[in-house]
Amino acid sequence: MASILGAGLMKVSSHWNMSIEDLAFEAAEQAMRDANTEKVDAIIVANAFSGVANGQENLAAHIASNLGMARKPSFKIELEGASGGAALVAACSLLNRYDRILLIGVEKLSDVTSLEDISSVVSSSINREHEGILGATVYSHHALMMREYMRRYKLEERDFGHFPIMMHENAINVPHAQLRFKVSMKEYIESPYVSTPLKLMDIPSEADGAAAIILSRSDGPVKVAGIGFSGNEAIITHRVDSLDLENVTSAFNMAMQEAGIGIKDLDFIQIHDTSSVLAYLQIESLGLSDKGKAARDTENGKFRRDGEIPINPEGGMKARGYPVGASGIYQLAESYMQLKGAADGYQIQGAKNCAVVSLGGLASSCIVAVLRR
Amino acid sequence: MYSWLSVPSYWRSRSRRYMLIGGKCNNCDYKFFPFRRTCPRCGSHLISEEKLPRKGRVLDYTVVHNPPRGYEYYTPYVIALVELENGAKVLTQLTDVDPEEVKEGMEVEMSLRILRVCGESGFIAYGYKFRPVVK
Ligand SMILES: [Zn+2]
Repeated sequence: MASILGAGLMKVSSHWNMSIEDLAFEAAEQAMRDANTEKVDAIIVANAFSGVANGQENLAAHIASNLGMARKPSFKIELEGASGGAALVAACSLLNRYDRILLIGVEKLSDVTSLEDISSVVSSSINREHEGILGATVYSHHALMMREYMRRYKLEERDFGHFPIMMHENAINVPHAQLRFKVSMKEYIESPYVSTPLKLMDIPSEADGAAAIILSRSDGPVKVAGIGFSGNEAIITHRVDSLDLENVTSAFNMAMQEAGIGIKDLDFIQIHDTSSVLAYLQIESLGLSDKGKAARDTENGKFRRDGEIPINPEGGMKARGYPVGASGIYQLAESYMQLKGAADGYQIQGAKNCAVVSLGGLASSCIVAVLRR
Repeated sequence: MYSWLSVPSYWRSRSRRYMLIGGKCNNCDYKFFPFRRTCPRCGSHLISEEKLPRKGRVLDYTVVHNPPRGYEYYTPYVIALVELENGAKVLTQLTDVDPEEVKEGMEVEMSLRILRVCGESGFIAYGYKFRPVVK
């Protein structure tokens, strides 16, 4: 069984004076210090957009060299938002060969300075040849799902405000969060449309970030107790039902079964909230709410940090921030801190087990990891 | 770099894009677009090309306010998920319609249009868009 020996993370922000290698260095140093180690046997970099956003490939070799580890084996794993989750799956398998692996999630988006270019970069995750060419974006895909969800369950736009409001509330006490301020329902309603009915307040603002964990075969404070991984059609028109995230359900069940625990044993869950509607669909696919009821349960406080089953105690992608390819490693590093009791100011008291959901695309990939103290 | 559109990539998919040629599964009869050689529903490899009907209705739609590079000129524009008369789903831009007037269930038909003009090369990409059925 794999253990996490240490973790590090940077504040999610626009780090104008740092390169992608600098960001990776900072998080890696923190994680090595936390694990009290100076030596690792391999490096895995989780990143989504270095090729298109930074014009930088061969990324793992550059990051390893910058760390003074040019001789070590290094890999980059790319699966859009799920890059971090996928890196964990790969690392767990590679532990047969390497005893200690440094996982670094890093994303550098502030080099892309216009809204149109950012829209192009993040929309490289939808199918370029058949969807992107039409002028569709990753946001227009979220918007189509939101419209479908509203119609199917007879919801209004304001029903989607409860989730970002909760995420912003959670982020206030979190030093590494990007957006540490409250928002009101009025501000949500008045927020401009990105792609109707999807509002700016429904989605994260892409940013720079880096997080790292050290994974090992030997015993450590937090264990990877179970992993599940399942995919879904990557092109939206190929999905028989555009709201069916059955792969999230099956990845979750696989991970929970491997961990040998039930949903009542979980002290919190990290989900991949790249839009309010995708958050609701995950909540329902994980069995935390009935279909169409995630908004109501969110409004009633079920998922608050002091609620029945807390979701994203650090503010999630929405408010902690969304460094895309790094986000999965952020979720793991944050969970590690919660389980170790080191989440000062935003701690879930006595947390023992948690689940981390890492999504790529519009759930075209889903990795779930169950962590245990 | 960000607005990249390759001429060969456009060229190889043009006939299916101009003619709306999708896939039909000979095992479960699922019809889908864009074409590929495996069925998204049952996984069968028994797929034939199928010219799809040019008419359908709007399932879901969105008005895009933050376009990617190369589409600023058309903004705000409508992206819709259209269900064709034989059940296949197509992602498309809607044209010849005020975004305010688009409704779920609206009847639309295919029309060949300019998708975008590419910067310095001046290369013009054509493809399908859908417009309200004129009665
Ligand atoms: Zn089939």
